[in-house]
Amino acid sequence: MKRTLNHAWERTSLPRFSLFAVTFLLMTLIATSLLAQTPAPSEVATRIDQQLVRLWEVEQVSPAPPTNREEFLRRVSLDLLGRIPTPAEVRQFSSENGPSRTELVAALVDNPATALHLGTFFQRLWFPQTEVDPYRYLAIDTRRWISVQLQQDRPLNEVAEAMIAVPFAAADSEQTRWGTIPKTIIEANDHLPERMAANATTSFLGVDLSCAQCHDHPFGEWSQDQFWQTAAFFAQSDSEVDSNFRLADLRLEIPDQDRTVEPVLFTGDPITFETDSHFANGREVFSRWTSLPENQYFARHTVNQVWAELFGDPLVDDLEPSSASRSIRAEMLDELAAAFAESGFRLRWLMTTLLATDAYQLSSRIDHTADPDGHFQVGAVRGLAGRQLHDSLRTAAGLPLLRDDLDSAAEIQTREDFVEQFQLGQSKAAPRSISQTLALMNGDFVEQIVSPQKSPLIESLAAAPFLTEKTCVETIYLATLGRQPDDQEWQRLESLQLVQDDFASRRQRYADLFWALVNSVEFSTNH
Amino acid sequence: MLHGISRRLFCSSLAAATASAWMPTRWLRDLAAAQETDASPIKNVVLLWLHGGPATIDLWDLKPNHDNGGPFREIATRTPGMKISEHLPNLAHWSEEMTLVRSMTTREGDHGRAVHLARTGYVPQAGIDFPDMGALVSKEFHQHEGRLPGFVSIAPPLRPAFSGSGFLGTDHAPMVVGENAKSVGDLKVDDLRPYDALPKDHFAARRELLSQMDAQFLGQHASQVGRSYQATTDRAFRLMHPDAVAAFDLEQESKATRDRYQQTTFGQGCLLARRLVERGVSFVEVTLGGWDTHTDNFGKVQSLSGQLDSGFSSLLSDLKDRGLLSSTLVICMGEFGRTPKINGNTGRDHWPRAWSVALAGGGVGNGQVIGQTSADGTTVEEQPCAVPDLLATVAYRLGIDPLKQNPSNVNRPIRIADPEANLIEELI
Repeated sequence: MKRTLNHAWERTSLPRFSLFAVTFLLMTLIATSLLAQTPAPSEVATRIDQQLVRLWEVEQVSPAPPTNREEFLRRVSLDLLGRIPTPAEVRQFSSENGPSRTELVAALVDNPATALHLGTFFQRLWFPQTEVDPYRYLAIDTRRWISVQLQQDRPLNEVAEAMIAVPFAAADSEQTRWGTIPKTIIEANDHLPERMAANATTSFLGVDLSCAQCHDHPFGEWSQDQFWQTAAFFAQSDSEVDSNFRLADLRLEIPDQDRTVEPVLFTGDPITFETDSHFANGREVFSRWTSLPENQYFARHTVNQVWAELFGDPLVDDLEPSSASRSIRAEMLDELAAAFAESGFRLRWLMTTLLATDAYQLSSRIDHTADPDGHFQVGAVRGLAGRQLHDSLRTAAGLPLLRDDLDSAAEIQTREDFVEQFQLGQSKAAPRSISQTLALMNGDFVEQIVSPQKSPLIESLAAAPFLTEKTCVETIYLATLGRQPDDQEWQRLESLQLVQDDFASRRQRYADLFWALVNSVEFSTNH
Repeated sequence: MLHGISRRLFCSSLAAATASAWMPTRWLRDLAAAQETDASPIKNVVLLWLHGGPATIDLWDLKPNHDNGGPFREIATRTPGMKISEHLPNLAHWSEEMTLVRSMTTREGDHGRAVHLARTGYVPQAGIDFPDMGALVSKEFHQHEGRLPGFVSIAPPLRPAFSGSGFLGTDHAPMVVGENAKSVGDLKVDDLRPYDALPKDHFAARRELLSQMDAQFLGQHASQVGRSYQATTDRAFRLMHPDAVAAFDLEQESKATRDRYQQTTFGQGCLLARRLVERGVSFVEVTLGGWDTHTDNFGKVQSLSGQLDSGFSSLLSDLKDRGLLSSTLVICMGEFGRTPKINGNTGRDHWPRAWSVALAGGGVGNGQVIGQTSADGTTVEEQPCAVPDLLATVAYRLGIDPLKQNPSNVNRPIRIADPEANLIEELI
């Protein structure tokens, strides 16, 4: 909005110049102070590690040693790119001139594949019902849209706000800034206000009011009124933007009772920002409240769930009883959540910070049979999600990953069918069913990957007489497990006659070895 | 069981759960001690799970002389005094081998909580990962160590984490057949045979190599996830044995037999259940979904009754012919009943206060009617039975001590049945 300078300004040049100079300096100062508010990932990571040391003293446990470089590369590749590293990537990172761990993380965090992988994580976190019929058809558009936003490092609170507030009818104004926002919150909840409210509070804020839908629970925190007052925000209204919307006019009827309620936040707090005539409906008001930097729920829940994904258990479990350990972890969560908000809810900041901790880099090697007690002193062994497993299998076989825009619909469908079979809730609790194991052992998709005739890896090794037996076997191990075989494994391979000086039998032997490696627990886990 | 359901759904007093775990009723404890020496003849259980909350007021406990009765009529069965829906004519012939419990009553009207209660015998509480009845039975009968699993779930409902072994672990996890089954053709176990192109002795060699690799890895990375994957691999290998593969092959049955059960997912599921029982699987469940009839209750229930009637009665008939009926207990239940008062969409809504369960075989099905509801069907007038009572009684009849404890995922042992439960005397 330019204002024309009046003639008085144009006459005097020196005062104008100095005013501009001062303004420029002021703005630089403001900008730098704003930038300085984003906490440095390494500092926050150090703080987290210090508090974990306190925790370990209280629990009288000592931490495991750190991972070696191969273990770290595999873990980070799965957690960011959503696939295992290739042999070339392993060799490069392990070499003397390889990048530092910090440099590796920085490069991977910016990779578009990471945006896609994390986009899938948030699609499943925010809309768990899209994992099953009849809402499965919504999954692809939802995760693609979220991935595009993450690719541009959009603040996560704004992404969440856009998803919760998406209008029923497409309007022109929304197209320019956000692309076409998927209507997942509406479709996956059958357009019902009470289900949209439950979805928004549980999956975005980590607050479960749904017990209170039918009755006041005698031992629970929430009353039936609070549930329906929250649902009232989601009641459909016919207002258009900039017309006569008033929050106080919204009403929702509680089923089977002859009364209606107004929208009230479940915290009991008043809405502090202007609502009348600024929004088109109550859902936009609620989503704006969700995304406010001072709203602790979104930040805490997001950080807690991302931590759970990376470390195997959430930092704080709402249902666990109080203890000294819980208090320390609750402090850690509060600090992390506040820093995340300060960073502008940037997911890249959060991933960089968490991956910079010593805790993330702890080894998972533990030889006694007792399970670690969930104090994060040992690296977690976690399952792989369907997409991670699929992409890792293709990578191991030397096949390029499928691209939605380039590859045939039939191949894409094969991937989706495979992924559907391997749904995963929380990565640590991942059970594997007999059907999934049979699919990995005998199924069509894996048959192609391991078949001596069809697998690029097997084919290239079997057809290269200039490669020694040792080099070939090492390559197969690098391709699947991201490491070299140890002495015990060499002995085993020799005693089972899988390593021989016989060029003609290479195809079958390498296919056998490859099959066993991709069916192994080591391949199927992130450790 | 809790994998897909947020723990935050469950807000209940830890104190109440603690109290109930450590102070069982004296009567139950004495009875449990007394029956240790009895050998139970029941070796197998088939659970016909009616998902969605079936309108049992239109199946087993009709009210034709009341407005709440709706258009269905009652028919007589072989048992005087026991009348059931006109749409279950084949089952009417089997009344002497059936027992109806018409006085089930609970407080849970939400699908998630009610399904949890009906399948585990406990209300969801305190983050405890309760196992399904099937897993508990599989564990007690030690059948999981054989080729076939001890607990099979056929065509389970499309619901995350519907069926599970909870804190009992993967050894007793249900083997699911026909997940997402949309037609009879889906009722099979995929990928049971190695690739056709693979030379014969290679699979054994691959299996040996894999076992050694996993043993080495788990020796260095002890973890719950790792152990569960290894255990499942082991079970998958056992299932690939030709005898086990044959068990799941419905093509081995004649067309006449398959038609008798009806060519629906549920019907053929019942046939598969019979084959698995013949081969010693301890607990098989078959799901018939679609019972959540908030609208057009009578049209839908009539159609579902047809499926239930053929499948259930054919199962009883085949078990009897093979001399297996007295050693196989069949339970037919859902998570709650439906409102006696018919709503504005000729539907019925959720009604946990009064509903019915049908039992057959196992020496338990003997032409009894237990309990009674009011003339309008809304309340239980005689012998109210809670779900824990039913499950405790079933455990007892299986020769399992309902008070036996299992270690759980919250460092506290949990009894098979809620110790507050009372045994249903008429079933003992």
